[in-house]
Formats: sequence, C-alpha cells, structure tokens
Amino acid sequence: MSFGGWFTFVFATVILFGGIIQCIVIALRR
Amino acid sequence: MKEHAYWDNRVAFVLAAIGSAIGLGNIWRFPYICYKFGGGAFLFAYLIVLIIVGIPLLLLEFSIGYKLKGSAPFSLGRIHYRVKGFEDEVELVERRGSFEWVGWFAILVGFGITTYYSVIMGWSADYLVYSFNTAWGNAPKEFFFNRVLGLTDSIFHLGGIRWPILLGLAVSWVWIVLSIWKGAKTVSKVVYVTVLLPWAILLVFVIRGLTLPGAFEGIKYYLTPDWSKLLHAELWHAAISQVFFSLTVGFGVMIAYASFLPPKSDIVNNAFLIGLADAATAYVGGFAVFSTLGYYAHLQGVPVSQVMKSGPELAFVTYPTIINHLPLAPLFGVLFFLMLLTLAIDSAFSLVESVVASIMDKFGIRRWKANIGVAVVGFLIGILYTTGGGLYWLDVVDHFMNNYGLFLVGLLESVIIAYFYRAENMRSFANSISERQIGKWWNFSIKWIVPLSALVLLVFSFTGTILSPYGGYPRRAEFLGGWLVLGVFIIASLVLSRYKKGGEA
Repeated sequence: MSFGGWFTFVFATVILFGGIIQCIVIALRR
Repeated sequence: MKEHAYWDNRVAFVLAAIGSAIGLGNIWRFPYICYKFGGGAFLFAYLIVLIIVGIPLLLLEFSIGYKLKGSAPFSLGRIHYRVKGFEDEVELVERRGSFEWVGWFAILVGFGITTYYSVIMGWSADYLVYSFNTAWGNAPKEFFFNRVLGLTDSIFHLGGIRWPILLGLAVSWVWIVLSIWKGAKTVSKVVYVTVLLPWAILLVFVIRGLTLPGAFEGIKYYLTPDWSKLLHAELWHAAISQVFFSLTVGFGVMIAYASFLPPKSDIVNNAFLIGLADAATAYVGGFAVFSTLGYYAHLQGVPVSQVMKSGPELAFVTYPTIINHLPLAPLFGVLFFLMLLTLAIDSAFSLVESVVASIMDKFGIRRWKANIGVAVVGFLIGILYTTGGGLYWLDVVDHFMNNYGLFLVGLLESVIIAYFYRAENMRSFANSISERQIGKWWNFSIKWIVPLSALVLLVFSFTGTILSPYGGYPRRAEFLGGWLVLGVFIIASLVLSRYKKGGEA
C-alpha cells in the first residue's frame, strides 16, 4: 500500500479509536 | 396518562443511540462512497464534517430532548415564536406560535423510512433462512431480482405481493414491537444483543476478509487517497450527506432517546462517543467489505473497481456470490444476514419508538395501543414494497425522505435552536450537566455551518430533481412517491400540531 494509504489508516484509526478511548476515560473519571 | 421510563443505566443509553445510528448504511453505503470520492481523502473530509456538523447536530438533539423532556413534537412545541399581525384588519396583536409541527414532520419522515426499512429487514430475514442451504445457488443475481423480488419491468407494474417478503416483513414488525414493548425499559436490555452481536460478527468478517488472498488489493482501493478530490465540491457534498444519513439525526429519535435520560446525565461526552462510534463502525465495515471484494476480484482476475457495488446489490448479490466461494458457506451466510438484521433492527425500532413516544405525549394513550397501532399502519404501508414493483417505489421514497425530509428537518432544528431558543442558552445548559465542556465553536456551528450545509444539500437535491427525474423514473412516479408524500407529511404535521386533546383546535 502507498504512503498515502498507510497515512490514512493511521490517521483515521487514531482519531476514531483515540477519540472513543478519550470519551470513555473522561466518563470513568467522573 | 404518560408513562415515563428511564434508561436502566448510561451504557444502555449509549448503546441504544449507537445502535440507532449504526445501520445498513454503515456497511453498504459508507465504504462505497469512500471509494468513489477519493478513498483516504474522503475519510479525511468525513471526519472533519463529523466533528463540525455531525456531532454538534447530535448534541443539539440530545439537548432538546433532555432539556425539554419529551418527544420531538412535545419538545419543539415548547419553543415559541411571536408574530405581529392585524386582527380583523383593525387591531395590531401579538400571536404566539410553536414549532411543534417541525417535530411532527421529523417523526413522519422517520416513520416513512421505517415502512421500507422493515421490508429490507424482511429480505434479510428471508436470506437468513436461504443461507442454510445457500438457496441462491450459482446465480445470486437472478435469484435476488427474479425469484425473491420478482422485479417487474416498470414502477407502475406492481406484479403482486411476494409472500415470503410479506412474511419477513411481518416477522420484522413483531420483532420491532417486542423490542420497544415497554419503551426505554425494554430497549435497555435488547441493545446489549442488537449492538454487540453485529459488532462481533463484523469483526469475524474483518478477520476472515483480511486472511483471504487479494484482500490487501481491496484495502488499497479503500484507503489510498486521491487528495486532488478534496478540491471537488462533490466530495464535500457526499461527506455532509453521509454524516446526515448515518447519525439518525433529523427523525426525532435522538430527541426521544435523550428525554429518557435520568436527571444529572451527561450529554456532551455521550454525543462525542456516539458520533465517533458510529463513524468507527463504518470505517471498520469498510475493511470487511473491501477485503472481501479484493478476494472476489482476485478470483475473477479483474480490478476491484469492476466488482464494486453498493446498497442492496452489494448485500444480496455480491456477498452471496462471494460466500459461495468460502469454506463453510452456509455458516458465513447465516452470520452475514444475521449481522444485517441486527444492524437494522435497532435503527428501525428507534424510529418507531420516537413515533410511539410522540403519540403518547400528544394523545396520552397507553403504550401498548400506540405500539400496536403504529406497527399495523407501518406493516400495511410496507405491503407496497413487498410487490414486484416494490423495489422501484422503495428507491423513490427513500430518495425523497433522505434528500428532502432529512435535510429540511436538520435546517429547521438548527435555526430554531440557534435563533429562537438561542444557541448560547443551550450550550450553557449542556455544559452545566456534562463532564466534557463544549466551546463557543458549537454556537457557530449551529448558527451557520449546520443550517448552511443542510440548505446547500437541499438546493443540490432540488436542482438535481428539477433537471432530470430521479433514477430515470417517470415524473408521475416521482410525484406520487416523493412530492405527494412530503406534501402529505407537511399538512399532517400542521394538523397534528393544531390538534388539542378534547377536540378543540
């Protein structure tokens, strides 16, 4: 896969799953 | 007497809202749109639109439902506007009006969608049974269009009811009604299965797909970005539409669901979590779809673009074809159609629940009566789509519900909250109860970005329809399945909002 493909993969994975984990952590800290 | 139920706990609410947002579109629309509009470039645009349009709109609906404590018509009916006019052409008086009709319009559009969504569930239920012996054999296309749908040659040639689909439709409605039988109380339990099970099956398909030969060729088509497309208006149009379609906003569902939240519940963090989880499901769904398509293209010795399909053809023709080539084909068939059914069921029952909640709020009738009444009407309307010409009607109605109804509600909701309720009032309220704070950018989004996006989409849709009839259907069909339905919904919304219990208008 091209660099662009890998970049998209890392970018989307980090934003989506990183975002979800952040939301869960905030909720658990309450 | 209103029977107000609350969610069992926060997880139940989050799962119910995720289940409502995630539907067939995450699997059969998102990956295709992504591929069509520049792969990774589309994904990039989609995430931006999700953050600045989708999540703000989701939060807007949660705020309305939670703050005003009711279904969409009830909640929007509590927001008033004042107009000055002459009474008897003499005296200048101030009149008060409410936006209840917007809530009813949203509910009716959602209900219109349920009438055919339940038919697609019916197809899936039938295919679940057909999977046990892969009844589609070596000709899945002929099987789907001729033997299952009995597709006629034109939209006005209905060609009779297809009885297995009617049976599937009946099963779907029974399942929908049972899932919402006691409202949030029942849904709180059902969603643990209907959200977690399709996720689990999706992961099975991702793993199975990625371990097939040719899978990475498919993934390449999915993710390789064509950055030049970021400058094309079509890409942004597709990204905004996909965000609107995917989040189940604009049908009053999220308003009703938020009204079942107990006091002191968070809404901001939940809106982010639900929006991201919906997008993540579509993103992961893309891996399942493209890896499998890569495998199929590899078998056929053709480029992936030649086997790429979307919508019902992807699910009911391409997938059965691919399943034929897998070891344990019946097992993967059952899993695939079970996944489709469970993906669809929570979207369907959330739409029905918002109708039921609205009827209960307005007319004060018992839940079981509202459940059964809505199901019977939905089932009867759905019979049209079980005929040989049903797929054509489904296509026309779907186009108008999504491209006009949905965008119009998005536009009206954002304008009502931004300019009549005041965006800042709603933002302060949301922040006062939430564990995550939303900045003033939300006001800007609700005042400008969301309404302008919805308006642009409406204008695009309208121009497209005027220039050429949708899908090449006759104008008469477009009128009956589109404009007339929307017109009836608007009139019905106005009548319902004028109706007061006891009969006086």
